[in-house]
Amino acid sequence: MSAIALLMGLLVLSYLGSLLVGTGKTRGLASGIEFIGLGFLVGPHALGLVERPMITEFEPIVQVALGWLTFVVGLDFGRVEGRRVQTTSSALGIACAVVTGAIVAAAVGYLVSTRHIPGIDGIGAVVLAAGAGAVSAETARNAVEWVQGRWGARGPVSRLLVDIGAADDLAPLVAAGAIFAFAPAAGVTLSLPPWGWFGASVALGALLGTVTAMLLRGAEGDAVWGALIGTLLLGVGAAARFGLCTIFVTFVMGIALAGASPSRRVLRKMVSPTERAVLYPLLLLAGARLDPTPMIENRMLFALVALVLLARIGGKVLSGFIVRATASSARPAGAWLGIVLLSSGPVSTACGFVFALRFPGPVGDTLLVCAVASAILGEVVSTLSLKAMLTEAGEILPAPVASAPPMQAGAARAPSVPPPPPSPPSSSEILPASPEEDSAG
Amino acid sequence: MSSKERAKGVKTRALDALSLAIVFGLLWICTKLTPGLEDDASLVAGLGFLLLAGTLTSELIEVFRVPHLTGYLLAGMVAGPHVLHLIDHESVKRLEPVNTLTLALIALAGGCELRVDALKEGIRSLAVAMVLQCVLGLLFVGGIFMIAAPVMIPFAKDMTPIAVFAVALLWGVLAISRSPSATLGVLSQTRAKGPLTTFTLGFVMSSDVVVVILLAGAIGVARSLMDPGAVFSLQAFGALGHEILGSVSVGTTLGLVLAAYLKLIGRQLLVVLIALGFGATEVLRYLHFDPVLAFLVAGFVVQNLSKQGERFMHAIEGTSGVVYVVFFASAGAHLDLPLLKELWPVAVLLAGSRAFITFVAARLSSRIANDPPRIRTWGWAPLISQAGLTLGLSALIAREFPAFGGAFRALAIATVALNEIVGPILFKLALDRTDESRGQAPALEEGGLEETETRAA
Repeated sequence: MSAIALLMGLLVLSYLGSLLVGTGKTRGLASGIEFIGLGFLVGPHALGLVERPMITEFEPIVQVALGWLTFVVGLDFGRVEGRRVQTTSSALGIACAVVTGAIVAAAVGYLVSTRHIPGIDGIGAVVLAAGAGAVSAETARNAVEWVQGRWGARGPVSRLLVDIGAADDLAPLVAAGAIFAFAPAAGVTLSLPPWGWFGASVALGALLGTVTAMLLRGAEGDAVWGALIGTLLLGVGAAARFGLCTIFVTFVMGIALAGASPSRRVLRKMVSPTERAVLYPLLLLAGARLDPTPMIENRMLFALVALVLLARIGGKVLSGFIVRATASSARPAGAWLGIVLLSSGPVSTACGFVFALRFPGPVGDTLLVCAVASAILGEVVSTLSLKAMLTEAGEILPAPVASAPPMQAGAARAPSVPPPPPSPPSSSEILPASPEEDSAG
Repeated sequence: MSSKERAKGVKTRALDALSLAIVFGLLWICTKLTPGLEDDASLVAGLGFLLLAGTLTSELIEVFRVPHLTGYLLAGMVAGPHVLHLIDHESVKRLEPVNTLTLALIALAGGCELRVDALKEGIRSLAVAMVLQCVLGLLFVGGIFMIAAPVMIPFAKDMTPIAVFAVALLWGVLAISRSPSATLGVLSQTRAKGPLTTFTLGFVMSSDVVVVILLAGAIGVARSLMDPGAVFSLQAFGALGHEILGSVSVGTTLGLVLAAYLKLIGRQLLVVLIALGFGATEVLRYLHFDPVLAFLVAGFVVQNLSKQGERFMHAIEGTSGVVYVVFFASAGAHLDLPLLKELWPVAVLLAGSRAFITFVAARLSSRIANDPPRIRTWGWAPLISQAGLTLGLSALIAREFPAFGGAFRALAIATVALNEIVGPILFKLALDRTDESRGQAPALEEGGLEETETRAA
């Protein structure tokens, strides 16, 4: 397959992804792992239609796409469907992610310090342990939104879960930014301590976010896209040159832009529909980039991935108890709330991917496998248990009886199915959010 | 509201200048702290820089009433490998896929701009201008080249008179080529409408085809003159005919498919345009067809054989805004300034003589065809620009004649550099003076996003 053929394939995926935006349809799986599977299938370790050098050729595009995804996350950080996430829910989400990430990092750290794994030592071991924590910390809100879209779930539990999922993106991205700060690029002539590089990442993201806000003063149409794409490319390129974490820089950039620009609501509405169009091709490339060779050659890495999954389950179960203990709205969820929190999605995959690009070899490859394995685990366990839990909590109405007449069935289902969201707006036809949308907690 | 109606305030200009300084400063820091790095990160940072610096520079020099395109070129030149060296040669070279996409968009937009009814009205004017510009341009500039060759053109000093004549013939054909990209770049900014605009579009787009045919003939003649053993063959014309007919056929089919898509589906035109720009270009190249001609025909078909022309044009304009900046800014970075410094006397002579004969031929053809006053006065100005097409033709000549091709191409690059800088400024001046520029495309104007919100509220 030539690079152009691969590009065409990615464009087709992007096209399909963009067609789904705004239709309210929940096709495919919640985490999008089917695209990772497809990527792996056509990749160099299965059918070999896409070869490794070709994937390498697409790395600049991947870096930019990853940056764009987290930029969108940053721009919308702390918000769900136009409303602000409550401070307590945010704190809870971040705490859950930190707890899970810390448990996973500690478990992996213990393993790599007690058992020698060839090819992983020194800074590599630190990156592997901390990186495993970062890629395992998240709870994806996609799964809850997917269940909401498919079965019309509405209620305090699903709302809390979405809020937790929206807030906890902060933890893995900050962790990734901090980890990269320990390993700046080799050719950099400036010497800074890790906290200095971390500060530089924050400063770069904040500066570019502010510059974007300045550029967007009075911008319209393609000038808006030009300013957004230009600053994003500059941010990703500059961060990558120093070996900083590109997705953390663009995440900060998104937050800074949302803070500095008076047009933040319009921007969010413009940018959000691009998320899926970028995500599907990215997942395909992530699948094609998956390299199981280090694990085949070294079974300890297999054990490590299994340990990561086990530690993640433990961390999320503990997080579930914390959530139930602190948030009264979570009580109806039952004791196994933690299992529902296992869903993993784009931010974890982006983290895994960015580690694979920055630390090629056993460390990066293993972290990408961990991210994908978490997504599969979440898909298998979390989505269905979430549906069962929300049904039990009374937030999903039971399916209509099969023998009921069609009209009655329709009538019974009607109240539980939310109306499809409006089509994605263009910059020139955006309706403002109502005042309470911005202030609602 | 256009920017003409809403002048930019000092505060906005100051913020633009500050943003430009930050953008330059950031890339400068990157280059100084990570010296010698020529990897993917440099490419991505360079691309973002060109986009931002090009846009901001064009906004800042707007006060001098020069086209945005000149600002893009200027930003690229200053940041490029010959001045500040913020962007290296390798990165500029790796940005070539952007050129592929841009040329496809330019050709589609160019075809879309050609309306049969407008062309019918101006057919006499176009035909007379084409004949005079080609004949006089070729003879005059070729003649100047022959006169200057023994004293000013290093690679032609030791050539026999016959060989000099052959090279002058090739140079003459090169001189009558125009720049569709610069033309459309200026038009997309000014959104001009009127007789001069219609004439320019018709002339520049059709001259693309004429020059390609003339060059095939000139190469055949030059080869037989320079190499006594070579026989003038019509085989090249056969291949050319195949290429042109094939391109027109594929372009027509593509245009019909696009029109059907626009009518039946009409969504995600950005993705469709990108797929066309890369995918269809690759297929056309594989088939040895001319992508520019095929896209030109496709745009023409959508505009004239369907009712989707306006919609398609709107989609292209939305995409091309960003792409043009990168295209011209990277062209600026690509300009070989040391070469221009070395060859400037002969480059100025050749570019000047080309501008002179373009002016004379335009005046003459306007008088013969009885053109409206604004074409009679300003019809020459849009024809000065030269850019990618001319460079492509010079690369072809260099390949066909390796003995002197390298030096010939260097001289062409130096001359194109001058025409690329001066031409768009003259064109914009002509559009402003004839009141055909309706106002700028949406750019970083006052009150944009905020105004959208207010309007919506």
